[in-house]
Amino acid sequence: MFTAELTKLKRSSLWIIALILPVLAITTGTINYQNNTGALDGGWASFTSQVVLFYGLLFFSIGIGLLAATVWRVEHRGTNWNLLLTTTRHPLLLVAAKVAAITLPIIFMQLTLVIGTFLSGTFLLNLDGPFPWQFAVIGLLTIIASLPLVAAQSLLSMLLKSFAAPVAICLIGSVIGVASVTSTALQPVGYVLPQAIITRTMNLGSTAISGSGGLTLGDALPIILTAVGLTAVITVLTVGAIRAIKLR
Amino acid sequence: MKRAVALEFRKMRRLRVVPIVLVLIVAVAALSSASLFSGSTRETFDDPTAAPWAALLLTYTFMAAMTSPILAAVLASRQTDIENTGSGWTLASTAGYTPGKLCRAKLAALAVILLPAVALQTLLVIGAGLLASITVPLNVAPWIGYTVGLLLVDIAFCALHIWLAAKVENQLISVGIGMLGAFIGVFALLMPDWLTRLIPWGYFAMISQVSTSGRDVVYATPAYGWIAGFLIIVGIAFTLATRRLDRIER
Repeated sequence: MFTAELTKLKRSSLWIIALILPVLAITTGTINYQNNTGALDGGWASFTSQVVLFYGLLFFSIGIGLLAATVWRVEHRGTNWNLLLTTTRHPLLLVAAKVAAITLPIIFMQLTLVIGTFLSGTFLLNLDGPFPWQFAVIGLLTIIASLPLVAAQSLLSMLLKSFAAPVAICLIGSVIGVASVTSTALQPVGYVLPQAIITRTMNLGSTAISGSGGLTLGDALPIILTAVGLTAVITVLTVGAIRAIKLR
Repeated sequence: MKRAVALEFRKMRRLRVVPIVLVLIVAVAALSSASLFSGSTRETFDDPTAAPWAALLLTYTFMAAMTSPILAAVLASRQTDIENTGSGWTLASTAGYTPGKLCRAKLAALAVILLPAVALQTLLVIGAGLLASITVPLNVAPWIGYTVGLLLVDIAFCALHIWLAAKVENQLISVGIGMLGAFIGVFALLMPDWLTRLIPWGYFAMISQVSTSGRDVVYATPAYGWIAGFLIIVGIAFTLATRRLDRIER
């Protein structure tokens, strides 16, 4: 079933998001670091913070919204939805296959981000000291932290026929997520809102956002557990929705 | 044309365009003014040299540059994709509305929605400033200038995305470019001027009425000539592109 999902993604121009977005993050981060060497003198720590600043605040989440909408787009065309419902497989498998198909480009994005940051920092900026392994760990942690949003956007993209509608909802969630990370009043929202979980994970140990927590087991473990729990809940909801809601 | 625009509003009803726009502008306005309620900002409210209004306008410019390109792409894609899915282009053609005319009507309809939306967004930010009791008198001109600029640039990007959404059926292209544009739009505020002018999304930064000099935020006059040039080019390109849409076979 997963292979079928990958076949559906052929020629879907997913690379526009999966490749260009992280490359843009690295490029802007590099230029910004170079232009502000006076204010940013923390070497690798400042540079990696610059790279993930906007990427982690908003654009990675919107990227996931777009990926999810693309993965579900084919099912909303013609009579594909009816065809999909005739499958003899358990709906849970379908939902899991969709989540996996969305996660694959995300893994690619994160690998591009980490490797690209390493290359840019080492060869373009000639930063001193070794590449911080923490950045790579956070890059991988973010893949797990993004699962709730993947599951949520997958559910929305399944329910809504329009391509742009789930992306708009994702944008609204991201804006609330930014608010929950930057203000103290909204902080509780940050623990359950998928977009905020991503932002918090990406900024573990960052120098750009104060009070973001360090990369310790005590800070990372609750985020990971929440992410896995939320993903399970949303997946069950999606399976229920496939069974209960008549979409046509 | 009037009838075509009226039809677009009929199509909008089930698209929930107004709720989406409303939620987003309230969220962006809230985000722009969130810093007003922090302790360190509050100390600047009765200090004219600290220019609290200019600082607020800068945050607003920043947030608008980050979200507006995506909003424009989403609105345009929703409004245009309905024609792709229900063979609407053909249906409208048989009723005398060519694809190009349809696109122009869509732009006009979205402009009508965006006008009160952007105005309300600015008023909300100013309202938040007053609510947070900024005592320094408000200099209205830059705020009006920025709001008008933002509206015009938003409309220009709606035009681009309507064309893209009509031309390329895969909406990932249109909305994806909108998102990448938002990334560039935010970053344009930090780029050198000569580069900002050359990039379409840079105009979300070009319309800024404030800039930073050292640690201070000061009012600045945008390069109106460049902005006007950009809008004229977009206008001509959109007219030509929509005319061409009339002549392709679907």
